[in-house]
Amino acid sequence: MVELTNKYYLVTRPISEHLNEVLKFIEVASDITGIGSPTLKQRLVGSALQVIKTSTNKEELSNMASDLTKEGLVSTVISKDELRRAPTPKRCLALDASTKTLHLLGANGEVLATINKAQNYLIVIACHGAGKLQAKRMARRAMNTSNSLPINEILSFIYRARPFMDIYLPGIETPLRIDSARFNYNSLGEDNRQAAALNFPLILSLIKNHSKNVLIDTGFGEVQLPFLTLDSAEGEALTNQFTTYSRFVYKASARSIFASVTIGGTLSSLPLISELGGMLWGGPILFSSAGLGGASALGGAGSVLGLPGTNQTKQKSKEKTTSADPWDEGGSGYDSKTSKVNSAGLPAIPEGLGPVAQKYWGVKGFFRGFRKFTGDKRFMKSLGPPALIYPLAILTIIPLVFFQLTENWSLLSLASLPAGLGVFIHSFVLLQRKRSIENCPTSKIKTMPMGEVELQGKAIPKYFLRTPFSRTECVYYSYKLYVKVRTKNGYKNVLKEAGSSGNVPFYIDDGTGIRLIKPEGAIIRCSRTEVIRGDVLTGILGGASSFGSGDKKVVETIIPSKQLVYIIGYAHRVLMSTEAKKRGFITRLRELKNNKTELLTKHDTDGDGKISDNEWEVAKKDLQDKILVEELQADKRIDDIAIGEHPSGGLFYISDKHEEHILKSLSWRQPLFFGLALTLIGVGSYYTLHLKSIQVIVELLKI
Amino acid sequence: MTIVFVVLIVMAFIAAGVALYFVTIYNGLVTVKNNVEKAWSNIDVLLKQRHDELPNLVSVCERYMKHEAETLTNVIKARNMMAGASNMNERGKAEGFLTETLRSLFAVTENYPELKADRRFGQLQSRITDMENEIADRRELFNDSVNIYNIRIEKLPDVMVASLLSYKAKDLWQINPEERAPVKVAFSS
Repeated sequence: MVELTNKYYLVTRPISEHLNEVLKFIEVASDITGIGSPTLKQRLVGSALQVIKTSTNKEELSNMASDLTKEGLVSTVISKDELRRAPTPKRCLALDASTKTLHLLGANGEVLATINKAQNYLIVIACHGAGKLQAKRMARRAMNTSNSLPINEILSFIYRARPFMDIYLPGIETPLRIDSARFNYNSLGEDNRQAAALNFPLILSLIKNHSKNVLIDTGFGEVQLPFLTLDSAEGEALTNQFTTYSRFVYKASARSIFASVTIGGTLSSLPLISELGGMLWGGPILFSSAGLGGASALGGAGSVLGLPGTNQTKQKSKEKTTSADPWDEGGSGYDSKTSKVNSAGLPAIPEGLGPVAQKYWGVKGFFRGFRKFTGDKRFMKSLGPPALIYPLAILTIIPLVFFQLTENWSLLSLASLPAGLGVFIHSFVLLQRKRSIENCPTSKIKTMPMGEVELQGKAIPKYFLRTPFSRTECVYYSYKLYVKVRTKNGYKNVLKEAGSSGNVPFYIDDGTGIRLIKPEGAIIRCSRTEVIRGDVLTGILGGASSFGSGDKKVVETIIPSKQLVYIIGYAHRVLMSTEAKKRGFITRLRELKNNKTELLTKHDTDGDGKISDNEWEVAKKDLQDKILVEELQADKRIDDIAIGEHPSGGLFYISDKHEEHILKSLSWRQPLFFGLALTLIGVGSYYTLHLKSIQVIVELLKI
Repeated sequence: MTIVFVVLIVMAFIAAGVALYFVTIYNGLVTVKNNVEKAWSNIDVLLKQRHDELPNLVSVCERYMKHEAETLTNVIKARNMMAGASNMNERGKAEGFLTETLRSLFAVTENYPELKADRRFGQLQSRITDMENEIADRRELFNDSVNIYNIRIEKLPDVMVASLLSYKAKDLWQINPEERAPVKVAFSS
């Protein structure tokens, strides 16, 4: 049945931005579609998707699309109804990049979506100056047919003109919209660059880094859609048109419009934008290399995202099981064969070893074990000086590994000696910590001196931070994911993954003032824990099956926001980086250049109404002096003084307990560890001296 | 024989532990002593800044307060006392006297609306008052440091090391007895 009321669009991916490369396709495309050559010359040259024909007859257009695709012009059909029903995008107002996955957050900090390495994503980006961008592209092409606007310039224009973008996630038709005017840039953490022009590439890079592959479309404004009238569209009207356009790209990509094609015996696929960490560009089939990282190695055809809902997509996902996945191997350069070859050279694992022994077998296994026991640098540092603790850890682990392999109990005595020495050192580290805390008086932030300080106050987040599982707002978290596994003696929880928020800075407020805390290198002790298990955890982990099928449990340790914290550390002035200073200077210089009235009033010394080279040099020097004075006057800003690691290795300790509690706990722990050290050394020496090889040495010593 | 070896090893570790313990005590005492000196130096910085501001304040006041020569002389006298103070105790006392004279100076200025309206005087008064508050906070920190030091050198086992080093108790920075006296409130009617 032919639907008379609905319109269909024949959509084609452009061949090239250069007319001479397109000419050979014109004749055949004209034969198939019945469109005249001059019109096709206009429609097939460019970098964005083009609607080359509109009709109410879907079947006719579908046949044309099929024929065009066979000829190398990838085409598809989209109905007007599909575009009319474009869902309203959800607003994404912040990012949470504190874990391995990237969370896109809504107005109340709720997670709208999670970007992960297992998926492909589509981003449609545009800006409020889309009409101007289109004019710029056309002008460039008119001036010189072989000189198109490079992708980097297109993106750079978009970043500057109030950008917005729609992110399409696999299987979800409603996009998430990031609008530069309504985005919390603080959520970008330390990288926050305070301007959309700098932050948008950062957001794009973050998405790319957390995902498998991302395809970006920049064609808004260039595409000749009958329903887009960009000349007069502004504000809300423009974003409404963008919603329709982004839906159009989504539908086209779901129908494999960005698939690789063979032209003249050469496989052509999507270009890569190297600046955005290798993001794919939905540009022309034959693209110029300007601004691009080179041709993608993607070999296979298929829809972007692997979006469900179309037959082609389903077919592609079936292909994935039998052949290499073009979206993964091609983009990352990973070769699964190589990894097999590497592991082939290792000696075979002896038979009869238990699973644990197998895990820690050989050099690789030893380092795996060493990493497991010593991986948490913050924890290792809290034990004692790394120069002593790491060698002792190695000396303890070696006999333990051999004990696991041979079940020779006498090896435990060899392990207990370095372990005892380590505990001995740790007991003195605790003593020193206790005395450092006792010796330092608590300062008020307002009148805090430079150097070693002790502070107590509320922890206030500098950046939006939430725990990955319980979603508690916090300033610091660490988590451990355990999976219950069956053992000989029953069940036990095995640690599968551990992580923390790292060194995200936060503030401390004691009522007299606020100061920045940079927790890099700090020993952090927090007592509040959240345990998540059962259905709640399964819901959070979703399809992440890499942790196995056993019962899972996550233990999060948190310093929640507004928690009273105790901090002993080193107060110092934070110097602005040279790069940041340079950036600030250039911005101010640009402002000065644009403010002609001020420039002429202050610096046109000869009064000729122009700024000569000498006058410009003087103006630059004045600006430098002005900035210097501003820097000197701004010594009371809260971020100018931070509490961080002691330059000569003093104590930097953060705890959510009161000073008295910490001291009380250290008072009994120190002697306990000292006693434990003596026991380990005593027992260890006794059994070590009973080892036959040692007895021989003792006898020799006697002689 | 093995037992003897084991006992010797454990004894060696106990001896090492005791030695390290005393090293920790020694280092701790040095730290607290220096903390007291540092806390005092931090106050001294503010005292110096205030000291430098006083001539400016007096010169501004002189223009308007022709009949308050005594008050202004007292401020100068207190400033000179501060300059002449040679040790921590003397400086503490001089600082107390100076604070008091400044307080009476600011009280008297209430009678001179023209002076109160002077922008420069306003700036100086606010700057000196801010410094007073900062000095008060740092005085608290100084007293905390002294307190920690005094407790340390009197407690066992630190007292053994402290007596070897001839460490003596330090004075807290106490306020003048007059400042502690009950405030006399006189109602006009």
